[in-house]
Formats: sequence, C-alpha cells, structure tokens
Amino acid sequence: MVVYVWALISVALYRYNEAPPGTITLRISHWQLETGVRDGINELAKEYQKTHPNVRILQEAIPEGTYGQWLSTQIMSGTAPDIIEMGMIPYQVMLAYYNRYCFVMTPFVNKPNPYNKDNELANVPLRNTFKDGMAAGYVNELQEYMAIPLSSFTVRVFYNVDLLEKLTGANNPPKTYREFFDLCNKVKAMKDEKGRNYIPVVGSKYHFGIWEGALCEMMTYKVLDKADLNRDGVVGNDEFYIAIKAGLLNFDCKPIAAKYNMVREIADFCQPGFTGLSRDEGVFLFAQKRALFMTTGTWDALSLQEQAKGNFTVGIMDFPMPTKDDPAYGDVVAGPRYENPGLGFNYSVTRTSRNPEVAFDFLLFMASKKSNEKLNKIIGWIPSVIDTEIVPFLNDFKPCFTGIYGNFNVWLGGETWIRWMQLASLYQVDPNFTFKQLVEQFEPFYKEKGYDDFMEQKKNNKRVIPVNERFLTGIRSQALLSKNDSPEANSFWIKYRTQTRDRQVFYEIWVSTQMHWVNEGPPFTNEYGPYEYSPELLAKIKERVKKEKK
Amino acid sequence: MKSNRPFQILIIVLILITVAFAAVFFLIEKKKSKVEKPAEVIAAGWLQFKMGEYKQAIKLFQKVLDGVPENSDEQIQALYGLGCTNWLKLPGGDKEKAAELFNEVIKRAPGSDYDAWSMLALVRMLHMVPADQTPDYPKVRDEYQKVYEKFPDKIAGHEAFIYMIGAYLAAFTKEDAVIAKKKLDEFLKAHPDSPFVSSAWGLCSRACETLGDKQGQLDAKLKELEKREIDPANPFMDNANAYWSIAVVAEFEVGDFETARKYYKLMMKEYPMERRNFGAMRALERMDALEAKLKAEN
Repeated sequence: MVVYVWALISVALYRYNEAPPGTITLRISHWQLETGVRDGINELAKEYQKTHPNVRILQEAIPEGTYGQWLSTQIMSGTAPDIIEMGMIPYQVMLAYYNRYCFVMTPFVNKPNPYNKDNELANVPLRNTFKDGMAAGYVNELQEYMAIPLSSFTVRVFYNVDLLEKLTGANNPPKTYREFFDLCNKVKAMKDEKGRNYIPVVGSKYHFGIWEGALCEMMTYKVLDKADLNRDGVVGNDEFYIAIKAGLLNFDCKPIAAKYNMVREIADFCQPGFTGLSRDEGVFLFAQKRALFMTTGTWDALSLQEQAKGNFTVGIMDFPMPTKDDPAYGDVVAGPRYENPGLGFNYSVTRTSRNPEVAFDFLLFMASKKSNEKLNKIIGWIPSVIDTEIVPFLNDFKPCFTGIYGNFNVWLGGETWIRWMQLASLYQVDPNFTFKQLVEQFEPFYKEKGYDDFMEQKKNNKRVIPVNERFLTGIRSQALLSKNDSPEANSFWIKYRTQTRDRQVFYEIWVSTQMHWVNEGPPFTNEYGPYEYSPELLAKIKERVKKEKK
Repeated sequence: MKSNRPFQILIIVLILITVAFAAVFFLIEKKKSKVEKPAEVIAAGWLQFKMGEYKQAIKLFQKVLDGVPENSDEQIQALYGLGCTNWLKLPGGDKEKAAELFNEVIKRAPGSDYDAWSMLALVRMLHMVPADQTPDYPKVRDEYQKVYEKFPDKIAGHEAFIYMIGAYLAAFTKEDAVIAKKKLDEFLKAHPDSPFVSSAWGLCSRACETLGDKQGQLDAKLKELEKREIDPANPFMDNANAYWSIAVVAEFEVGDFETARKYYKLMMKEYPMERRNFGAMRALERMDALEAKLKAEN
C-alpha cells in the first residue's frame, strides 16, 4: 500500500514538474530519423522555451514506413499532434487531410515573420523569406498555403575519398562522364584483400532511381524538339504518345537510345542483383568501403559522415555529365544539368490542436532566419530561408539554374505503364536483353494499347472538371461574401477568374485539342518540328533580312 | 337526466390549456428557429462546403432559409448555397433538386447577382456531362448566350460569355472559330475593361490560331499579357509561361525575331530559376545564327 501511494505521488510530482498547471504542451510529429533531426528540433524547442517558459514541445518521430498509417489513425481519432509533417500518404489523401484537418496559413504569409525583427528580413513578407517563395507550402489544388517548409534538398554523388586514392591514385573525383566511365571500368576489375571485386557504384532500387532521374534522363532533353507539340517547353505524357503514334518520334531515336545506353553502363557498374536490394543494403556496401560511388540526397549527408567517421572520408561531387565531345553522348547533351533544389520538411498545424496560435508561432520561430540556419546546421541540411549560411560540407550542393532536363515521358497509364516497367526492369538486370529488343517489344504495344490508356486519361481529365467546379464554387462564395471592393474581395475575385480560365475554359480546349491531334494527327511533320522554321517562314525571314541589309 | 355540464367545462378547459401550451411552444420554437446572425451561418455553411462536409452545409443553409424573413438577401443567399451544395455534393449530386432551387432564386430575386449566378449554374449543369459523353455544344452555347444577354454587365454574364466561346473553340472547326472570333471582337469592343478581358484575348489568340491568322494570334497574346491578372499570393502564377508562349509564337509562327528576343530575355531576367531559360538561350543563339547565315548569303 505504501509503495502504491509512493508511486502515485511520484508520478503526480513528475507530471507536475513536467507540465505545471498552465503549461501548453505542443506535440510535433515527423518521420525524419536521420542523424541530427531530433537533436535539431529539441535544441530549437529549448531556445523557444527561453522566451515561452509555459510551452513544452514533445517530438514524435515515427519511422517512415509506418508514418502514413500512424498519421491517418491519429487524424481520424482526433488525436493528431498539434504540428505534423505532411507526407508518406497518397497525394489525394494528403489533399483531403489538408482541406479538412489543417489550418490554412494564407492569412499569415503576406505578413513579416516577427522572429525576423532583428535582421534584414524584418519587413519581408513571410513567403518571400523562403528560397522558393514558399511554393513548397502552397497547395495548388486548394489555392492556399498549408505548410511551412523548413529545409532544402537536392541530390549528389557521394564517394569514398580514401578508396578513390587507394584504387586509382586520384585525389580528385571525375568531372565528366567519360572520366567517370573509365574510372569505374578500372575499379570494377580490381579486387580487395579478400579477393572480392570492388563495386564502382552502389546500386539498389532507391539509388538507381536517382542515377536514372538525375543523370541518364538528361540525355532525353532533345525529345522536346520533336514532341513538345504545344510548345510549352515540356513534353507531357499525352504529347509523347501523340508524337510516337504519329511517327514524329521513335523509341530508338538518339536521345532515348542514349539514355538507355547510359542506364546499361551504370547498371553494369552496380553490384549484381541490385534491383532487389533496399536503400539500407546499398548504404551498407558503401559504409563497408567496398563501393566507391553512391548517390543520395542532402538528407543523408550528415548520417553518411557519421557512419564514415574515423573510417574513411566522404566526398561529394556533382553528377558527371558527358561533354559535347563525348563520343557516345556528345550530340545529345546540349548543356549542363538543370537543377532547382526543392524545399521540403513541410509542417502544418492541425485543426484539432488546442493551441493553434502557439503551434503556428513555434513554426514561425523555426522558420526565422536565425533559427532555420541553426536547425539545419545541427541536422546537416540546407536551410529553406534566404540569406542563410550552410555548413561548409554542403557547399558543393550549389544548384544550376540554366541547363537541360529530361523529356522522356512514357508514363501514360494502365497497361502501357505496367509493360514498360516490366521491360525496363528486365533491361536493367539482364545484359543480354538489348535496347533493340526492348524497343521491338514495347513500341508496337505502346502504339496499340497506348490509345486506350490515352482515351482513359482524357476521360480522367474530364472527370476533373466537376472537381474544379466544386473548388471554384467555394472561392466564388468567399468572393461574394467579402465586402465589396475590399482588398480581400479583389483577391478572391482574381483567384476565381484566373482559376476559371486555367482550370475550366482553357483546360477543356486543351483536352479537345489533344483528342483532335491523336485522331487527326498533330500539326507537325518529320520535316517541320515544333522548334523548326517552316519553309514559308524561312522565306519570310529571308526577305526581311534582305530588306534590312539594304 | 343528470347534467353533464361540469365535465364539458373540464374538457373545454383542458382543450384551451392544450391550445395555449401549443401556442407557447410554437412561439418558442419560432423564436428558436430565428437565426440571429444569418451572415455568419451562411459563411459557416460555405466553409463546410469547402471542407467537403456537404450534409453540414445543407443543414446550415436550411437553417438560414427557415430562420430569416421571406425573400430577404440572406434567404436568397441560403437558397443559392443549397442549390450549389445539392448540385455538387458527394456522393451523388442531386441535379433536379439543385435546378429547382436555382429556379427559385431566379424567381424570387430577379435581376440580382444571385439571379445571374443561378442562371449560369443551370447552364454549367448542362455543360458538365459524364466523362464518356460530349456536351450538346449548340444548346450549351445558346444557353450561355442567354445568360450573357440577360446580364451583359454582371461578372456572371461575362463568365457565361467566356464559357460560350470556349465551347465554340473546343469543337475545333474553322466555322466555329469564325463565329467565336466575331463574337469576341464585339465583346472586346463593348467591354474593354471586363474582368474577363484577358481571358477573352487569350481565346481570341486561340481562335486566330485555328483560323491560321498568325499575326492576329501574336497580337492577341500580347493583349492577353497586357491585361493579365496575377494572383500575387500564388507562387505558381507568374508571367513566365506567357513570355515563353509569346516568344515561341513570334519566332516560329510570325518570324518576328525582335518580339521573340524581347520576351525570351524578359523571362530569363525576371525568372532566373525558370527551367526553360536554357531553351530561351538556345533560341537566342538560333535566331542570331540564322540571321547571320542569311545575311552572309545575301
């Protein structure tokens, strides 16, 4: 009995000390188990408590594999944390969660962040203090700011500096694809003290996807010249299909062939059977000093350094792009690789929060210049706020805003998608399955079955129209209920009109244009592509130049 | 025979008491159903609509409908809210009921904004057909035209006009494009300051494209940009698309390299992170090279 009473008193006292009456407890959840994240948030919580002694901040770090289910359960049962990192759930579900269970942040984004009052951002609206204008926190479907992004991310190639020197004698990593290719070929033939072959490139489903997306995909930039039928600078999956169907583009054209040639070359540098391996298994190989290069993002930078501490030095290099004189890729590489790092690590405030103002205030604190810099320095990530300093280790993550990007967009849907995934996976793992065979097996299938997928996609496009109508009706109601000619009303009306134009009027015309092109043929030919001058136009320009010369 | 009078009096008294109680309850209930702040309840109804809580929205709009004076502004607003919610609710909107409600608004508040919005909503219901069907475009256009003719100076009327032109251009025939262009010319002359003027110029550019009028296409694009409204709070809405689109039409359709250069450069200058900047750089080099080559040939 005495022990029981003593236990009760202890628990009560502990609780009292932990959260005395009047204490506001904020719960914040995320899935970032990487080194430094929890320390960073704890450190900022401590800082915040110095000026807000009645606030306690508790972190709930949930593994990413279960975060989505965990978050859904919490939200459905009305016990969601005050602040949540949004993600790890399907996008449509995320939209629904934002809409129903999170506070809209739009009213605050045009006001300065009060925690910037002592720096040069004192009078800058909150959204303009982020590197992307807070685009990462803006949900286009809802036309509202719903989250605050706290970090910036991009991908690079990490390498074992010591191993590079030991195996090749080189002090610097390769700069071009050809150097990288030659070096990997050399390393591939070398064996460690146990007689095992060194692995030039770490492969896994996760890692190879990054190689493919960030390097190989760049080879397809010039697909644009044939398949950008609406000349908007990007090849959509519908345009890609129409171009293939009309014979403007073939799968064995130079840019696509170059991409898959490179995919094969890099796949051959990875360990056998890599497509069946997980991310952790790939990292393990790198940490064991058996692999030379590994690609991943800034999110892993500090963890990798920690793992390698006292064992080897981790270096960072950009993806080795082919140069214009490269014998295999020179004619498809028009320039450097475009890269615009995205912001992420997005946090929202839930409607079930008992103290939403305090939760939002803490987010503002973390998004202030000083705190954001500190948070990311502890985590080893890149800050999301402008004019902040990054840790020297990450200096090599400078983005490139003028460059090429991928335009291979075969993801039409349904059957063609599945078929492509099967064949492309086979191509990655089976050196005997050639690109020629891949094209021979896929292109006829794509042309035939792709039409059904295309038509289904157009139906889906039409199904979006009532969804948009619902959304527009909501905005119209806000405009109608606002005071006439007030700035608020004007803002709603502008939003309403621009979205009516883009989502309904022009959208319907665009869908019908695509239907017209797929059935009647696009407005271009093999002789005259979207980015080529027609003979009539050339004659006109010639005439003008002649006149100007006179 | 024994008189039954006391019993009769008792019955009458009981009836009177019952009636009195009923009257009191009726008055209390009436007072209860009276909505004190209808504007707030309507706003709450729309919030529920936006959140996808359609049952709640209907409940709130109905509350206002029953609790405010007949044909008051709030009652019309509630009727319109009920109409929209019944039309667009999930699962399964009730178009018939929605049409009844919109017609009720039209009947009760003729000439009002809500009359115009309700009339437009009825045409939108006609226009939006299941994904595997094609709208009856001639009928839809006629109905939009009626809304525009009835409300030539209201936003809803202008929106109806824009939808009507969209319905012509979606048909993708030259004949329809000719009609659309003619109607657009009249609209732009009559309403140069319409809130939808930028959209009208955009549609005009589209009509010119279908008709093969390349200079007209470019001119209309420039006007569209000039009148374009930007939602400053939307980080995805900027002029980069418009600049690129003008430059490309100027370069490849009209051969107007001066305009093309101007807009490629504007995009690069104003949007340094825009991914098409590499394409713009290539375009500038391409035009320079072509002109140099032609000059050398001459």
